[in-house]
Amino acid sequence: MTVARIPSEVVFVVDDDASMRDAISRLLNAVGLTVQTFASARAFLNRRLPDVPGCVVLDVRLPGLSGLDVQREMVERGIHIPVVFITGHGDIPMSVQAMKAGAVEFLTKPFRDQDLLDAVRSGIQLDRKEREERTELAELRDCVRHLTQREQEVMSLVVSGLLNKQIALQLGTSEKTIKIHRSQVMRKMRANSLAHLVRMSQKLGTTFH
Amino acid sequence: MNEIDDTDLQLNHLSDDDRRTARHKTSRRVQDELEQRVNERRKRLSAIKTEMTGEFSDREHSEIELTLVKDELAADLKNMIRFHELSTRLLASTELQPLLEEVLEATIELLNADFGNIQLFDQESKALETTAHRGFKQDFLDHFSNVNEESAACGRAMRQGTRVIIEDVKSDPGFAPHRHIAASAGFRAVQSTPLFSRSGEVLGMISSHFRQPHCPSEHELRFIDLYAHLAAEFIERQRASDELSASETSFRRYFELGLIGMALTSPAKRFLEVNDELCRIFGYKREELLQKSWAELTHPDDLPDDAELFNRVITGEIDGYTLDKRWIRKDCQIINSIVSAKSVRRTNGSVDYIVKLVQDITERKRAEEKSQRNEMYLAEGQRLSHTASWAWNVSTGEVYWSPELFRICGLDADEVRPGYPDVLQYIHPEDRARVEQTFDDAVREEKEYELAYRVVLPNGTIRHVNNLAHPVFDDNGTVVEFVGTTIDTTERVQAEEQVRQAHERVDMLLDSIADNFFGLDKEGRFIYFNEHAAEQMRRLGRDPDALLGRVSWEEFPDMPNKEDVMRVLSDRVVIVDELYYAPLEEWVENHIYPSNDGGLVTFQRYITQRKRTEEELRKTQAELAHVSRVTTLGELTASIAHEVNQPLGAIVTNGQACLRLLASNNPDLKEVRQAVECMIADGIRASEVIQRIRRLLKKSRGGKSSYSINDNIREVLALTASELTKDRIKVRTELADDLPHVIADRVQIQQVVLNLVLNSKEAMSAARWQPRELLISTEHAESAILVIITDTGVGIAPENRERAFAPFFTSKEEGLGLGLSISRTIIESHGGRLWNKPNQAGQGTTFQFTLPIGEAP
Repeated sequence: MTVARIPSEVVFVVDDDASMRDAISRLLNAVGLTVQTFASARAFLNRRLPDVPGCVVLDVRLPGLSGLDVQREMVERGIHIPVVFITGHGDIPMSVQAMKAGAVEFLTKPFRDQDLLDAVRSGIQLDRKEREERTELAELRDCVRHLTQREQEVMSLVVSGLLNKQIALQLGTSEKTIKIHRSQVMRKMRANSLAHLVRMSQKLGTTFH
Repeated sequence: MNEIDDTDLQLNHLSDDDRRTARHKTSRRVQDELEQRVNERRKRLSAIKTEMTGEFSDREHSEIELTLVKDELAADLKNMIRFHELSTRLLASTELQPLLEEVLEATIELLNADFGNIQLFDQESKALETTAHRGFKQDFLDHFSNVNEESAACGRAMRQGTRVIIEDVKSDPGFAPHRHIAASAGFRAVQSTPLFSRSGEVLGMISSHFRQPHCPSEHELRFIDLYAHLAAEFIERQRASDELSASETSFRRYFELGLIGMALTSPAKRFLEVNDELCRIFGYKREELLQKSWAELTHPDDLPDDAELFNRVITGEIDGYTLDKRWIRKDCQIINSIVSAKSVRRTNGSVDYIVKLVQDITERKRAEEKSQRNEMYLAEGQRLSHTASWAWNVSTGEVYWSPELFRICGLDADEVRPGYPDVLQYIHPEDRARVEQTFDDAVREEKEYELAYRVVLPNGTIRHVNNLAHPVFDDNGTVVEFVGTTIDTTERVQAEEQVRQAHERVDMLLDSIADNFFGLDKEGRFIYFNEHAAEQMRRLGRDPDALLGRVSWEEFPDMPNKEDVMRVLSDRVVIVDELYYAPLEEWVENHIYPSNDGGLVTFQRYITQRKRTEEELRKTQAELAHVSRVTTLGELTASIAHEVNQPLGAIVTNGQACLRLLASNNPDLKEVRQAVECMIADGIRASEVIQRIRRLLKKSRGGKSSYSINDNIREVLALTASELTKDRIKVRTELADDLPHVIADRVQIQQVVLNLVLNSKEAMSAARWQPRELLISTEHAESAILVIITDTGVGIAPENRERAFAPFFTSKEEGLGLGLSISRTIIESHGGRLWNKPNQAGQGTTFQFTLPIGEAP
């Protein structure tokens, strides 16, 4: 079911069984969710997906690829949509594997509708959140790009808790120069406080260093 | 007388004194000697004198004797002359009585006897009878008319066979009974000289009697002997002559009697005399025959022999002969005869005439020939049939053996004349007593008998014979003879023995096999049971011996395979059938074969145990198949669950969606309806899957039905669809249209296809980088359906291709490895074949199986 207008969020349903696809789609529509259905993993992966928060309801047993393979491939392709696995039989090792690989939920058919809806919602939420974070991270990175080399060095030392005096000593420059750099950093990073800056650098993580 | 001188006395060397003594002695001695010599001389002279005296008297005697002798000689001469004259004269005459009288006269004269007689020995009375006498009165003649005892001289002489002389009847002790007659007749001495025939037989007696006691001289007696000899000759001659005339008479009578053809023939072979019978035999009149010679009438082929014999008679080599010869009658018919010829010779030995006896044996010959032929046939018949006949005459003990009987006993008819009980020696020692007993009983009781016994031939071989004999009675009811037939049954006995042995072997064989063996004849009657079959009859409460000769289906009307038995008898086919025989509570397998004599034979085996085992096996196989099915199903659990859960899940989700839709203020009813329809469809789908599963899980009871194999293929593909898609296996089918149906157990065949498909899936799952393709095709191949399942999997190693069908062979970690083994069992029990082969192009294996086409019910 393709939707004409751009929705606020979208759920992708990938199941080779038509009736299942149909049923799930109906259910999600009933709660006002937009659904896109795919009969195969390939179809899903090759599709240009709308850039809205969403999640994917994925049958573990699909012709060709298993659900786990799809999960991996999504990662490889940089598709970070959360996955809700559904399966015709309860396969514990598989479920454990799936969860470890980051699935939102692993439901066995027949499932309770509420369970699915909850999982989908949390998936969407998760996706939204991750999107936000990704956006935020992208902005931060952008900011970091505007930092000079020296400013980056200073930033990393500042967030490690060193006093300016110490930083100056470490970098072999004066304290005041450090202070200058520091304020530049604060400005460019749009940090409110030192704590804010620390948080930022934490978000940036290792990519920063 | 010689001078006695000194030298004689040998006095020279003595001394004078000695000489003197010696001389004295000597002279005394000389004197004695002289005396002696003189005496001797005197004796000699007197002897000579005596001699001379004797000689002289001898001479005198001799002269006297000489005179006597002369007288005697003269008398002898006279007697001799008389004798000679008499004998010459008498030899010419023929009358005996006068001859004897003259002889008597002569002897009386010779002996100077007073009386005399000649007696003849009568053959019939064996006594002497007086035939001529002189000087005796009637009383004497009466007294001595018939003498055959020894008291009288003649009797004595006859008995002793020598002359008897009684010098004085008064003093002879033996003569005592006759003294009074002698006295009456007036004689005191008698001599009786026997008359001997040339053969030494006493013909008569010539006796001479003397008034005074007297003994004839030797000289006289010598003459008596001559006369006796003469008289004997006369008597003999007379006798011969009498005999001759008597025989001539009887001959004549015989000749004319005509019992036989008779002829007197001349040395020139001419008929001198013929009798009527001969004329009749030859068909000529008497006058005609007398003109002919017998040689003319003789059959030319027989003439040479006849003539030869005849010549030998003429030459004197033989006196007569007998021969078979043929004559030619006046009417030119040929007749057979026996001819006996005997010559009558003159005194010089030449043939006077020949007597021929001719017996017409033509009829007899014919009869003989016929009889001979018959005998020959009989003999031949006896020979061919190895029978022989014998007859034993009770009174004479005479025994007749036919030639065949000799042959049977290995005896030479010329050498042996077997009679009872000699014949026992030819009989086998063990049988002798029995034979003897039987024969003695039969003879005693005058009954017939039959005996079988053995004879031992001289060369040691043994023959079996069968003897059948019966008594032959005369009119009085007395047994005359025993007549018997003996048959050589050796070959028969041997053949019987062989047959018996063969039967024994067959019986042993048939009894040793564990089956029941029955033989029926062409009417269905029991002719044979082996021991086991007999036992079976007894188990059923029937007596096997009583069943022989009875019709099988009449005796056992509820015999389950009656039709089969009848069919074998009529159509001469072999039938093998299995049936349950209630009376014995046994399953029985029958092999029925037609036999050469138009009947049949049956081998029957109890297969109850086997059937039970087979049933057990079938049950076990079914269980095993079930287990395998369940196990296979276990492999499908994932996909089954998936199969089922799909529609179920859809149903639930649709239902829940419906509820939510309905819960809103403005429910989209169209959507709700759609949802409900989907739910129903999914519900049906789910139940179909369950049904499929259940069908597979159902314990097959082996029920067969007629259906198309394509259905099996489709069902299995439906069952395994998700499995196959999960493994990215591409399934292609080429199922023939209008495929003939098979008659098979649907569930079992489905199991086979499922097993093969899953195996293919396994094989292909293990091959990572190959395209995974499963091809299933069905086709109609001649009289069968062929199903081909080809995969592109890892394939099977050549050494494992056949082993794969073995039980518990598996390359999987899990799984019993029974799938292929059970699959093959299922296919083969349906009459098909299951096999595999590697793919020609590319990797992978192809499994194929066939099923026979079933006739649609």
